[in-house]
Amino acid sequence: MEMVFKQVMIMDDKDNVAVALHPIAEITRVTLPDGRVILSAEPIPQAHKIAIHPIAKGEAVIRYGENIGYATKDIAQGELVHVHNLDAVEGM
Amino acid sequence: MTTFMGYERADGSVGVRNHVVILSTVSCANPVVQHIAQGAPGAVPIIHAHGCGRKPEKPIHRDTLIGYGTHPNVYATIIVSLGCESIPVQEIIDGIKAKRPTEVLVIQDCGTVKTTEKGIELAKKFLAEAAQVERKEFPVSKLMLATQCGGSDALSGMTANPTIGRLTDWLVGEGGSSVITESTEMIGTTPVLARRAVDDKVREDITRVIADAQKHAVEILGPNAARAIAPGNIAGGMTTIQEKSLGCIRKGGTVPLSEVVAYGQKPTRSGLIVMDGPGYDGESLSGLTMMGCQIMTFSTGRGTPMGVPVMPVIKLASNDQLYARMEDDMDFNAGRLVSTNMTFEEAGDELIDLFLRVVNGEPTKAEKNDQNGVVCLYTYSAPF
Repeated sequence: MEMVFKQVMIMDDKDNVAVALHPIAEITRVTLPDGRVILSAEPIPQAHKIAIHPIAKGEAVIRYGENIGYATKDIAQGELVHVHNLDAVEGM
Repeated sequence: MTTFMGYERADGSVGVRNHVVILSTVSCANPVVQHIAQGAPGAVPIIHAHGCGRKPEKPIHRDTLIGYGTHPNVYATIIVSLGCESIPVQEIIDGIKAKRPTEVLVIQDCGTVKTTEKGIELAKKFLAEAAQVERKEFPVSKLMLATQCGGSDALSGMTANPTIGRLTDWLVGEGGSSVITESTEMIGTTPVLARRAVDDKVREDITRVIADAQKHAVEILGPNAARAIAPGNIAGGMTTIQEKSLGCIRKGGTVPLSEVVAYGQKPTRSGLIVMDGPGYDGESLSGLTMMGCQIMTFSTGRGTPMGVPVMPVIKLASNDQLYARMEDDMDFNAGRLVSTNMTFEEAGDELIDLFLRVVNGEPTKAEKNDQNGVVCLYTYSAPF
């Protein structure tokens, strides 16, 4: 049987992050659902987010097509997006 | 127009099951209720831990018990009362009698043994009558789907909840209804849900419900509530409460928001409904039952087996590992969205097919395994 292995999932076309379905190693080619290939900049643990576009400091992080918080520093494509570089939307 | 074979009730509702319910008014009556149900196979016992000693919740407990006793999936109800309980028993009797064939037993009239014997006799009579009722064809617009998540993991919001969202979009498109609840898990989604509201009133209602849930969360968790999601969630890849909530409200699909109702209140419109309710599964399920949902989908990542006594519950596993571990309890493996080439469209279509088989009578795993247990009644005060 053919082995199927999706690397990441993107929930909405507007998203600037994808979610790793399996652990992704550093400097690994990651194929996005639309066929585009990006390079991971650091290890991405399972169910964590990887930036699929550069995200400037202060810019919204978009998942499910919605703002889930703001970048607290410049995030390069392929970097891990987590609580070290993302903070909550003010006043929730 | 899609149809199903259901049970017509005199009050205009339509059931997908035809249960005979043995209902305890107070926890003191629970053993008799259980013994009656054991003596009349097929009867459904409704037992709970309350009925006395809590003043502020009396109206909500009364209405919840009436909700169980008159649920669309219920053919007839036998009410078992102790006799001296403080919950307004006559109001419960009147509320149920107005809508369903009803019998009342009072334990203090003749003791537990005779009450049990009478109860078994009455239950067998109702079960025989219920077996004579034939299903009739109805449009699926008669159906209200309850959606719930519990024991969630990082994949719940990515696989199982969006699949339920597909079912919501389809059912609402057919003229039916779908309910999302768990107000605490909507914190941070006000702009998303307010944008989907059908009118200003609904926009104000959803904004208020989420603001109240948020205020309550801040009272308990402090001003950093937006960041204060469980450590396990952060270790699992989650960042903010918005991110977690967006995964939760995916069960509501993409359709407009028709109405916001209070805990257990019946909606006046069809479409996507928000019920203002607690995050705790047991209490949430009672509210969804009381409002008259006939069927539920329940997504889980860690594995929650619980069912609802009067309602079929379809369990969706968010990941393959859970499905492999607890296949006896899971009806649908949404983990295939990750491990195979399955698309959301395919997963949604498969869930719609399963939903239609279940409303036409196919038992769910929770029904087969009798995972009903003790019903939770909503409580917020200290007992006295």
